Amino acid sequence: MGKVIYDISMSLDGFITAANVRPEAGLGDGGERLHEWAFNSADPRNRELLAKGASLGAIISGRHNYDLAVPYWEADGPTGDARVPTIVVSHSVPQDIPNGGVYRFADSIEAALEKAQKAAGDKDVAIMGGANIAAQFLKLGLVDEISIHLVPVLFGSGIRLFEHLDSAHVQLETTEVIETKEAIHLRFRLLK
Amino acid sequence: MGKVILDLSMSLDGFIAGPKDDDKPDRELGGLDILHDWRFGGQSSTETEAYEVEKFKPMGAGIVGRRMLELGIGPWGENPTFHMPIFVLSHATRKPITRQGGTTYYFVTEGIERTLKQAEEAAGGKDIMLLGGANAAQQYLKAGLLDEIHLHLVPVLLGEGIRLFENIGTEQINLEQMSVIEEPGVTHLRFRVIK
Repeated sequence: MGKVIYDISMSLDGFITAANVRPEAGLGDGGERLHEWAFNSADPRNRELLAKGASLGAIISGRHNYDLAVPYWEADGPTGDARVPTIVVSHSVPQDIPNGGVYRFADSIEAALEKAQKAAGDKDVAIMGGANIAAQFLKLGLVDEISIHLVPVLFGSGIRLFEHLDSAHVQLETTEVIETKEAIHLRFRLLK
Repeated sequence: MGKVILDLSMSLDGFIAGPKDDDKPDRELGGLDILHDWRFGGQSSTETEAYEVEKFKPMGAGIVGRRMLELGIGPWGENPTFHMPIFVLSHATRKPITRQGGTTYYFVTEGIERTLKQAEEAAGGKDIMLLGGANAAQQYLKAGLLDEIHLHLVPVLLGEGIRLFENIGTEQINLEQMSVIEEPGVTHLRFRVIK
């Protein structure tokens, strides 16, 4: 079985969106800065990291994240042409799923993980947003690695990644640090 | 004139101290010391030692919040690593406290700008290190008085505690990376504040 990796872009002050998240601005006002490393960088290291997404076995997304992103993801999902199966944690199945979409729906964290790991086989499963899903997976001890794309900006407000952890005290080991102008890519292993 | 540089250890989830903000840090509850083991845990590498020595070379004075001083003055010891005057953001006047090796704590009651001015005069063109805590850092950041942010990112999720980046307004502040240095148990990140 592959690893479970929580993967997200975060501002230095800990936000995964800027303020005023809404359908027209899924990352909030000016929040696209968080994804510059992925979409607006000529740095080969950034391109290489992005391309790694294609080798994932499955992706897990929260419903809110799905609703905001599906207009851009369309049928192929977050990895585009690679069409990696994407499991959405949701209490209901939306009406207007894109035809031929890579999406499947699960009504709990555990069910989503089971579906994702089944689809992934030996490959890794990545959890991509949002903060709530991340906290639940972390609390349940289901995350093996955390991959943070740390963006050199302070938003001052927005949605915080690490907010609902209570007093969980999680020791990590830094396994990779890749410095690019647009983001510092940090990878951690959870010590269990 | 020298630069004003914030220098702090921070957990990956953004805390610079655990929830038990007292001078007897409780490791189980994510006390202060877990964030400083890379420096004081007895396992710090020669690279860490060299980093620390280099870090203080360009510094001519320091600024620290009053609460941070209360917590730090014990651990920093009789011969603190600063070897320079440290100005304490304070509400009450009191006599300076002199330590060995060139460190003296001066108490300033006239707010962040006046404190900075005194530190600049004492620094004589060298840089000024802002030692924290969170409140002091936030005030200087919000006032646009910080030139650089140096964070020692510790790979741990504390879950709760005192957050560094809070109450800094809602204006986006752009930073530029200066350097990233990886060491066992800590990653040193340096950013320039774009003004």
